[in-house]
Amino acid sequence: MTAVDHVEQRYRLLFERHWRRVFAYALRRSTNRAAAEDVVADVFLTAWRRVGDIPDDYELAWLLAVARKVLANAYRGDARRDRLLARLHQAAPALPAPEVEAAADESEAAEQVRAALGRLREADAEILQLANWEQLPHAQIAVVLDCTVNAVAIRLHRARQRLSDELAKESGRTGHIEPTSPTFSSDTTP
Amino acid sequence: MSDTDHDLDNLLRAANPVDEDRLPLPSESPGAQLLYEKITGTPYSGSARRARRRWAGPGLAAVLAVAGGGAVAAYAISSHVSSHLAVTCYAAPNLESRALIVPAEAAGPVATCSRAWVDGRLGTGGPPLLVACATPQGVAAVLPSAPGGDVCGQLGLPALPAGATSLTSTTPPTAASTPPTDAPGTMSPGVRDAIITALRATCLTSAQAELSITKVLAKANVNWAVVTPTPFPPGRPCASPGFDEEAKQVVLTGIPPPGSS
Repeated sequence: MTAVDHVEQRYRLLFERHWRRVFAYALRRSTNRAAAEDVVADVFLTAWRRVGDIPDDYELAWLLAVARKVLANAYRGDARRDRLLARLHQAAPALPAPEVEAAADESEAAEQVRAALGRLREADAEILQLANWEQLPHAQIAVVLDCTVNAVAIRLHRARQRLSDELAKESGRTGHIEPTSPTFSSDTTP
Repeated sequence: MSDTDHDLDNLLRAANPVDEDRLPLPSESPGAQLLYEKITGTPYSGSARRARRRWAGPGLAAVLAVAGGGAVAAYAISSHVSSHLAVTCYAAPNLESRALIVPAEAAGPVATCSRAWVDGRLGTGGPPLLVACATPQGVAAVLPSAPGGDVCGQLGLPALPAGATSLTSTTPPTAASTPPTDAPGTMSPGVRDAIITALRATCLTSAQAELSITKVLAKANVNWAVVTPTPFPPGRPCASPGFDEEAKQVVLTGIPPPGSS
């Protein structure tokens, strides 16, 4: 087998192993399926260009790191568009509700947790999602976020505390969510 | 991790809006397969080796014309290298070493791979002395070499000229190469010109170019050709069409924006 065959086979395996997980990642963070498909296309195009740079043990983390950047660029593009529309004194079109196809849990509690996530800082929400929705271990999260494993542990701990605070507030307002611990830290360390 | 953390994690997992297990696998998703084919230029269902030989088969009669910057250049087909869109750059003087497949640049395969070395993608310390050979699969392979060494000969491969302006080893580029007009499925020069004109005026992304070409083909009632994008390297964001009539493809490659050198 030549190196060319090796590269092509590796890309094929990469695509087979991770397309669905990258698609799920993009769907969770996009407003609709088409937007998610665009993200996935950008991610795998980048992977094709740089297949030799992808570390064997961190393939998914590498792909999700690319997806994160693609999404950030897309958000920036949306923000530019919205500012332009504002300047033109036009109302920005309302984004459609996320298409939560393949939804796992549409209960009110799940809705409240998602709402609480939405009120967190983006970095806190992202690390919680990587740990619980993508179910990545700390070492993989560190690759996605380009930080150390220790930093992941610290950030994750703080993000959990902040989410607990948000849920506690929500519980105080509605009584619907039932946090299991009475002690919710209010750590405000960035 | 405390019980509280466990409870919180359970809540979070229950709030996951997309159950991954209910999404299709690539083998079940036509969209995923189309994406794979568009990116790699190889059929999803076939093996990579067999698929690539679609480009590299003997007697390849494809005409690959690359239009860019207002000038049209058409490359004649070489007896040695027939995959003009990509170059394989090796990190060591053997075909089993680490390799990068990169889009071919007009300056030739050695210059193409030198850039990969300069960028640090193949090693540190800048590009070593490089030589270009033609692999049996019809791909240009660029390998490091000792001064005066004969890497291609040692590997049993024909050498390519280092300063080649196209990926041809024996035939220089010609100013124009017209497909035989009586060949079945041949695209008329008028349609090719319309495609080139549609893409020449401005810098179109791959997706925009694909849409424009699809419209031109539909208008001309050409329903046998497909548009196949290839990866655009950094600094070459504008789509340029190539015509591979044997494979019935209009291949999109990346070129620098109009007006840039």
